[in-house]
Amino acid sequence: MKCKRCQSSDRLVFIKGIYYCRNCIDFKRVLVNEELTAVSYRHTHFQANYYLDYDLSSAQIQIANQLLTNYTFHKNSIVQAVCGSGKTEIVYKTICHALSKGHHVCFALPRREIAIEIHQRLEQQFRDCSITVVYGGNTSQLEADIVVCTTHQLYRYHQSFNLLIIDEVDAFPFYGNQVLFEIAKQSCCGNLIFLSATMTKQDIAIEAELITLFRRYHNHDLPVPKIKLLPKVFLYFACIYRIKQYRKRNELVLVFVPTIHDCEVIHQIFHRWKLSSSYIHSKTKDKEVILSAFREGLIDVLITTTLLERGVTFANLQVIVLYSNHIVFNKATLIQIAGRVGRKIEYPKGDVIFYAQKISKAMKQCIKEIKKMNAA
Amino acid sequence: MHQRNQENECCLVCKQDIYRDTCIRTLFLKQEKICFSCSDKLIDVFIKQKIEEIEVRYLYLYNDFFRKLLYQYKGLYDIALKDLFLLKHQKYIRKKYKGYTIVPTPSFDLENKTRGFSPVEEIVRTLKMPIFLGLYKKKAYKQALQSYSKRKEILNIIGIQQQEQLNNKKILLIDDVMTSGYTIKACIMQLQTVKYQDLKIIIIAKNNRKENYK
Repeated sequence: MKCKRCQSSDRLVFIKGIYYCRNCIDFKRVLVNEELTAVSYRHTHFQANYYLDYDLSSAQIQIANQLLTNYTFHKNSIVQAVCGSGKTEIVYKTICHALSKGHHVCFALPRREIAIEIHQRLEQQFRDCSITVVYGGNTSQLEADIVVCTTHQLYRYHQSFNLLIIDEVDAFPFYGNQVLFEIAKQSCCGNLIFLSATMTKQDIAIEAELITLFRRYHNHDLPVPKIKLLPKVFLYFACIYRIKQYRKRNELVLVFVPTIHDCEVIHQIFHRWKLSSSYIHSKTKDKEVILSAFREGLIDVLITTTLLERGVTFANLQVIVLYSNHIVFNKATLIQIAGRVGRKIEYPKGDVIFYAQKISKAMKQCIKEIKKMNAA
Repeated sequence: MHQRNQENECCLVCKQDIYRDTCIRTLFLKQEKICFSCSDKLIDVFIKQKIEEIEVRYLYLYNDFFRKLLYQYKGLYDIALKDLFLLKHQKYIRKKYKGYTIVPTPSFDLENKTRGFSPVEEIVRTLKMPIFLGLYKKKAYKQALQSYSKRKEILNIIGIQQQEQLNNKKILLIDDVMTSGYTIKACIMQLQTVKYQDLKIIIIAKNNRKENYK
């Protein structure tokens, strides 16, 4: 006997005549004999179109066609593509095809901030479709032509989607979470497309075709991080000197630190050295205000935790990772952080500098992986 | 040193091994249902207060951990957690309130039907003491959803039936969380129609954060 939602038989309990699964209890209790129902919303058949201000590269078009072929032949796909290669755009063709067949389409992401950003982006690019975004605290409208949601909300859609696209598969909290993965699988009655920069095929226990894209859409190399090893006190001075140089050239600087506490400490240090800085982490309110001020260049430097490691694009950006040997900066995180630089075609290059007291394994692996991707 | 029970070794909250922490307590103390680190997050408070001249005893601090635990129990219907709330204080309550009849605060019947259980009733059943279930809610009314000022309305919503069972008995009223105190006052109002011998109150957690309920 197993749970119909998370497919696990480990934590079934029988109390007071109720037989239920405690493995996926975070998503409200499901009885073992309970039939989960699919969301039944209208089937619309229409020829959807998307509008892009730019053309896709030949590599992107090739992969877009391949994804479409896989979908029509009912095959799952995993797209492993480097940061800034335009992963999101390559699924648009498949989305249009699915909508024209009257299929249900969902775009799922592990984090709320990224879900909101993708929702805004899709609204601009799919002007004829109704698009809704569903995340914890925003669940009033669950049905639309395209549903954008966090992976935690997929439990609401048992066997509902014909096309389920999961972006940033390698991000916390989705990565390595068996319950979330099973719920995602159960919400899809058609085919899945996984998109990721650092995922390998072994990470996904599902039969799927692996498609790789190792070039960015503007065909420039990924920036290879440089390592600066210094004692702790000198790290700050080196960092401040470097930031002042960047600001002279009017470039945006993003500083990644390992913890929320570090954000506040570094902010105070920068303030003493007359750098106008601000910080942003998961507990910050008014994140959008700070991000827009940073985009406009009103702030010299923005200090952040791994919150901004993915899903954000800034033009003309330079990145500094302070204490990059810290345990929170694993290989995937560092690759994602390096991928923030040079995403815009007007500014395809930039610096990524790791300031640390010693070299960690993750730092080495990150540099090796980026060099490998550039050589491919 | 205690003998380890092989069957029930997972913490009900974090789903990990109960004895996974390497500390001296794990050698000498027997732990049930909840691991040491989760148990430490349930912070005991030693506050006694009087509401309308009746002694009230609080057990835990209403912190984030307790809030999440209670939500999982009442909101996500995880009945397995019923054993945790009074686990630490079971012996104390049984000893101190020997001979008392327990009266749990009511919740609306329809809600209990979808849940499959009545939350406070299940918690007090773990004490294995005599229980009186005569208090009831006249209509669906969620105190947690009301603004702080509107919480007085509960005084007209709670009713009592078969109150003669409580005549000449010692009563121990138990509730899970107290915020404004109106639910408890409504229960006291109903119980005062009975000729009881003694009335004491236990609140599992006291919520002081008024500002959350504006």
